[in-house]
Amino acid sequence: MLHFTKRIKFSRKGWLLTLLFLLAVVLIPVFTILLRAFEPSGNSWNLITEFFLSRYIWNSLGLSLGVGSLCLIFGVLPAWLVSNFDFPGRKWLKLGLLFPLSIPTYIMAYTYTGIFDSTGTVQHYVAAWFGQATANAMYFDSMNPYFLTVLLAFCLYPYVYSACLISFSSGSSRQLEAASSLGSTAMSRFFRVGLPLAKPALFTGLFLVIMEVLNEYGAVQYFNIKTLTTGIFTAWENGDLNSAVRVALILLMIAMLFLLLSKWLKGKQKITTSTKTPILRRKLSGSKGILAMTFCFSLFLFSFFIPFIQLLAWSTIAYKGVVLDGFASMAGNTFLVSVVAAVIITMVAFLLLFAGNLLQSIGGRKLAALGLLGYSIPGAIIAVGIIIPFVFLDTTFGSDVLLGSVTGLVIAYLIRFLSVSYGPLKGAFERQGSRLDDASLSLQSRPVKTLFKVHLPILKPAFVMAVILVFVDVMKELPMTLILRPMNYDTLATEAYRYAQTNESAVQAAPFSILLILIGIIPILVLSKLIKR
Amino acid sequence: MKYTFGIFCMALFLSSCGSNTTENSEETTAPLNQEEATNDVGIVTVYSHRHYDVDKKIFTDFEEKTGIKVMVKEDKASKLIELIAQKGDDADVLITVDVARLEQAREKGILQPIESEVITGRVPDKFRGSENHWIGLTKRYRVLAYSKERVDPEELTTYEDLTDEKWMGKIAVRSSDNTYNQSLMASIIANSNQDEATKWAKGVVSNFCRSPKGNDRDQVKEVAAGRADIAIINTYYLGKLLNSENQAEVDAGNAVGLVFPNYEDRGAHVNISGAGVCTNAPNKENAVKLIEYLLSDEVQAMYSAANYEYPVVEGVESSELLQSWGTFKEDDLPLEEIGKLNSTAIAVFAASGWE
Amino acid sequence: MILDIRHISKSFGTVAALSAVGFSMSDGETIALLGESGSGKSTLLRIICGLEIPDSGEVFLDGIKYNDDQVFVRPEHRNIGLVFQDNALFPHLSVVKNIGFGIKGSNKKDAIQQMVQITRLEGLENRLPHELSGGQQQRVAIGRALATQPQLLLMDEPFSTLDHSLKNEIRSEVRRIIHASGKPCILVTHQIDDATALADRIAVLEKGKLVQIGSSEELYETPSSLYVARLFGTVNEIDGKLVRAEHIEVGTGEKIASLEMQYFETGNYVLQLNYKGKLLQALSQNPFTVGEQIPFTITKELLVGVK
Repeated sequence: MLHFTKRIKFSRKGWLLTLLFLLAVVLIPVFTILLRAFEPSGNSWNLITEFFLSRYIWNSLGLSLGVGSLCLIFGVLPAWLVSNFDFPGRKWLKLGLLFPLSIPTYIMAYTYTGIFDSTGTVQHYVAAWFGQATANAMYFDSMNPYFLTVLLAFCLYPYVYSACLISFSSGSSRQLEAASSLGSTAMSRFFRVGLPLAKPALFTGLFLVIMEVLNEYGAVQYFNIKTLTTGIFTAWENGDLNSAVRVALILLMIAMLFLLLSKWLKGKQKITTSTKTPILRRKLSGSKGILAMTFCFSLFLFSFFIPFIQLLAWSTIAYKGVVLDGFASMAGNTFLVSVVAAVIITMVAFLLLFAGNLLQSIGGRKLAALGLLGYSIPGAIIAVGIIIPFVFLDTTFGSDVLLGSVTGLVIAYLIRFLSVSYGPLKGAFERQGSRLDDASLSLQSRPVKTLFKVHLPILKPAFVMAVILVFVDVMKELPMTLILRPMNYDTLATEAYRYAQTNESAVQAAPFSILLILIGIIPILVLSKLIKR
Repeated sequence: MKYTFGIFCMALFLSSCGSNTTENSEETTAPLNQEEATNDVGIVTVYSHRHYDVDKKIFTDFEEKTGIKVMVKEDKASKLIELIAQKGDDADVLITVDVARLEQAREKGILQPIESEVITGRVPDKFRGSENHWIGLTKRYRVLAYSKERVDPEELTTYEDLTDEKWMGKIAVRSSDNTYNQSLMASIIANSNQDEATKWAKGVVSNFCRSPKGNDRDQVKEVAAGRADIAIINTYYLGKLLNSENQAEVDAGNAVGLVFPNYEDRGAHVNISGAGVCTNAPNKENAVKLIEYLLSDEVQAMYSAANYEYPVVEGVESSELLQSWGTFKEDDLPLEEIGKLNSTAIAVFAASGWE
Repeated sequence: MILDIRHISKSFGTVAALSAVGFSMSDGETIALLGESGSGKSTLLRIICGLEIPDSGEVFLDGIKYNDDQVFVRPEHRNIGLVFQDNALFPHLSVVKNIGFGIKGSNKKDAIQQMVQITRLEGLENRLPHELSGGQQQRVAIGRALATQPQLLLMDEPFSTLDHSLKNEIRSEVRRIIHASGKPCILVTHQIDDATALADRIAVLEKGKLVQIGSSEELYETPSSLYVARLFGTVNEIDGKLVRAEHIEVGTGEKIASLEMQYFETGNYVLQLNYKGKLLQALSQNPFTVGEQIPFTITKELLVGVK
């Protein structure tokens, strides 16, 4: 393989072809489905425009902004604390705060409503200890939009946290040191240096959060909050896919608005840093240390530990009632497919980034950005867009290579999740200033090996983070997996969903969810060693 | 650096592994199919919206009894219908959990009339499409669960009673996006008219104890906890509560009684989970065999025992729990009507402000 | 005495970066910390300004203890200006905002203006760092560090990223700025010419140990070790004596060596001579022919380790 990498060189033409090919893979399904918005619709469209559309839009906007703001607090603050200070448990919390990534949002929602509902854990213990009257008085109706906002933030803040972590601990450490030698206190370093320098990474993370919220279905539907995405499914259930796609198109436009907004907020600053020595973490003594620990630990407690323990407790009662046949092969399917997809998707994102940059003169960057459209459209809708070209290719070549195969599934993940790995990589390159240009140019003139020797090491943290994010996203993915999977093919996610769906609770889904979460933690533990400082 | 290169190597390695495994999996399934096909046993491909464990068991039993391999893909009916419409060459049987989706599938032209006297003989007319494009497998009743403590069931005999002012703030029900609610609404429309139905929906909405959310079991829990007096639910959700591992859920289930409404006039609203044979079914014979099997006394009893659904085949005894809920009158409206009125029902919900 | 460092030791894992390093410097003095990469000079700099904590040892600035076993004064409370190797400018702030970053008090504007003048950045006040040349960025970094009126200025490899052609010009510019500020300064470098050009005294670090400190003349004339001696160029060993290349006079003398090769460099021919099977390096105003037998004399013997 070394020989192989030594010899490959990419010509400009080669890059153009690569870019166009990638764009075709992504855009053909996207446009295939979006064109249906312009076909005649059934009667749902009238209902939607008459009764629902403005509510869909406001609910979607409100939920994304609410979750986004919470994720800012949940993401930025702990990232700052663990990368700049030493306090009890820091090392564990630094990793642990990434764990909620592996909990699917609908599992989080079902788990917490299960904890709080009138037959749930909280009511049970309050009634047992303080009597039924107290329990009734203390009843908390968890199924409300505000609590859902918090729950979604629990699942999604790691996107912001991970982005800020990279920025604070490697991207801006020299500048932070400079600020402290200039007499700037911790607080003022945060606001004057840390935060402004983390801005590109932060908005990249925040954009991912907002996309996830806009496309959220399971939890939102259970709480019966009518958003654009639930609207899409309502219309589709009503047999009117064309109207559903119209709503999806509106969703896409809102996503684009958020994209522009995040671009504008990122500003035009160019950040160039290189860091060899890690920043010296301050020991937080006494009450300050306890405060930092309490904040980070509470976040970990509520976003991960409590739901995890509740699921574990449910597993012990549920395992008898569920079919555990093929548990191991499901776990295997889940892990293998997620690893393969995550690595491939991250590498393709990398190629896309390079190709776009190298072809800047002919608008390459804008073209590359088109390749990220898939993240702004609900997976179920894209799945339909994928079916059509897959069927065409399969019948043309007379085989079943794409539709209903793992290969096809990985391609589908690629179309949808390219953006997830593209964001962190692009952010890292932006922090490297002109190095992206150098790197792309060197790829034109020098062998690919240079890329691995010279440019990749700088990007390692971002690369690793991109793989982790895509891994967990693929692992949790449902709408595309369900419809595009091979026959008789189950993953932990599909099985957890099956039980959650038939019972509309997380109890029976618990054993599968637990294993799913544990598998999601593996790459976090393994890969974070690679970016350990 | 070594790591990064390692990741790359791993990626290449795994991606080659990945493609190998897909090839492998196809090798193991595809030749098997052909082999079995030549043995004249073959396969049957099922696209199902029923995600229950008992369905898996039933398919395994079918495989053992007939040697026909059952290939299953489970997803939401709307997506499965779209997949069949786009691909359309491998699906044999479509199974859904309500009649509206079956009607949608028929309208899309992806179902063909079932020609089996065994099937048509076992399923009553009203639970079949008029040209037998689809047939019912199990029955589900949408009924009223009332607080045994606070409600006298004599005061609550019909769906229409729900609009009575005395239930102000007392009714718990789930979202109007739910197909069971939509089918209930369709039956109300079919038995009166759109205006009456809208008036009814508005009346029920004004009696809501909270804005609709959660699932049917959550509604029962609302009643058990005293925050509502009446919940509108499908019968099998109560079965699930009563058989829960969680004692608090069992208690909640025991706190309510069931009214199968309108027992003095048209009867309780009934919906089906049903199946159809796909237009381009490559294994049509096996598809019919499977559906026949699903209608056998044995399987009908399994549905009833494991999933608390009512057998669609007359004469099959339902489970003890179901029998304990008593006998009642069921609405004679052909379900096809309900399927066709689905869009109207959604429109009525929208106009009535039922979230 | 403005700075006093005593017995500073620091190791990273099992690697000792600094062992028992100590020296002191007087006000207005410029000291260069000279050593190969990995000799611990940057670590020492980071310890002085509080970005790294030593395992043991003490740091005093102007008589105030900044570091010992119990005391650790945080960098923001040390009045020390630091110029980073890559400048570490704030990329989101303009030139004046970078320079003014650490200035507190009412006359901030004047202080910035003064620093802009000293660093000759007039006209570039509102540019962002990425719009400046390398030399300009460096002047901003120095200006930013000096603007807080530090008691001590530290510079980490200030010229390492500059092109050779620019270096001399920028070096004298930096010297001018340091002198204009009148601040004592410690400069970390791995190049002797940077040290001699800027520093009053040079402290040589070898593998984490301070091997000699003194003026460049002292280091040149009486190096404490061969390591120090070689910092200034080739040292030959002739018949048991150590002799610098420039202390070999060619053309006359009793010793004869043959010329193996020669090249021209900055006004001299550098001769590679073979003497009794050993290679020598000598300098000459005039070229010779390769293979020629050349007589030479030793004008001065180098004594190492003698005080």
